[in-house]
Amino acid sequence: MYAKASIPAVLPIATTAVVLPATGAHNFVGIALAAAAGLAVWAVLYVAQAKFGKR
Amino acid sequence: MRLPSFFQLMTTQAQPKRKLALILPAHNEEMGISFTIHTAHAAGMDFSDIYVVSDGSTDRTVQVALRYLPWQNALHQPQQGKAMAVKHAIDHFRIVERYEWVHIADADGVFSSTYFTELKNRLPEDAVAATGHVQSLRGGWISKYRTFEYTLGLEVMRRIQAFLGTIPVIPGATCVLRTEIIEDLDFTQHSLTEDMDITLQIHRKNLGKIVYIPEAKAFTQDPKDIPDYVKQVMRWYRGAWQVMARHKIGRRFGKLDAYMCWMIIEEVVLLLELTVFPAICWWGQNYGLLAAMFLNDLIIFFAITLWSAGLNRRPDIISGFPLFYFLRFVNLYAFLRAWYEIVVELKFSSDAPGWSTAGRRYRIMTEAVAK
Repeated sequence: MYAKASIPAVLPIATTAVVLPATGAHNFVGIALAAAAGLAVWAVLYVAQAKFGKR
Repeated sequence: MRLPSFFQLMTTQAQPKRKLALILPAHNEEMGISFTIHTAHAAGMDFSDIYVVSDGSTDRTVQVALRYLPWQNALHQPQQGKAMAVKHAIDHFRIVERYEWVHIADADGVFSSTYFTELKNRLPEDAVAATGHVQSLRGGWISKYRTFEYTLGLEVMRRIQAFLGTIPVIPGATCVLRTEIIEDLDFTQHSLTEDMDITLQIHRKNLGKIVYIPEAKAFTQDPKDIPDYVKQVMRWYRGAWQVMARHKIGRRFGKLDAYMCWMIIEEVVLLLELTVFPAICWWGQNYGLLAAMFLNDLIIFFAITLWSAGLNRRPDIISGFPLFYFLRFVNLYAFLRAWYEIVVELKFSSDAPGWSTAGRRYRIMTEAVAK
């Protein structure tokens, strides 16, 4: 708000409102879980590399 | 009666105004100020047009500055805060009488090689203030996130703000003011975010147009760890709420009030999207909706991160992507907490004349400046 910007919050809400009725909610749960797990592993690897990796 | 200083006596003869002065307010900046002066000179400023005002420094800030600057271009004052230091320097060095424009920058600032040349060539006649482009110095994952934020905030939002005439803040790292309006500005407000206060004064007093000059790029140091990051964003949000309350933002009709209200609504929607909405979905066992929201957010967030990395030619920004989510929550926490402290509890009504950057400085390496 001050000198920075976050992603426009209305975008995910708007796209969900469009995509969800067309495809059905159940399709997304597995993909979302896989994506969340991927992000978690990525974060752990990044922190480990930053802490223990060669400079 | 106060006698004129030696500097004032030496410069009393009427001369045509020079284009641009650079003022560097500093508090204990001996580590970085020589690099800042060096990059300012390399970017097109004569040493004779650079002025340093030390605000209660207890280190060798002035001595280090005087290795480069003429002896009369540095000033020391008891600690009164950044805004007062700037005002003191403007008066002492007779900036209004001697220059058309004054650039105020952070003493840890770094400028791109053409920064001041671009500014001098592009400062328009019909404007009273200008701001350049701010970039993060290369650094850890916090710096990577800041690069993402600055790219989105400036490449997109700042251009829209400039088009609408609603730039809400001229960042302290790249703040250019026409000297004619200096007398109309109040530097004694002791705001937590003095740059935003000055900007809103320009709007509220209808002093004139603020322009954005993206070709002039300045670099800033980012917090090096999470406690420092939290401290900085808390100050930004507290200052933003404080200044908006002081200037009665949202209580008048006009594009500035409308735009800043929209910014607040955006933050509230983001808060609902990342906290309240998932909780409701989880409680109602509507996992599909929750998953769809998460995936949409992820795709948009990642796409903007890729774009930011490409635009800055910094693929390393992508590597820190998962950790950016954490900082988004930190920002939301700061937004809410600052709102409660300023609007509900009415705390921080004025700022002690301290410097938020105290203890944050680290030596800048040349390679930290992104090409």
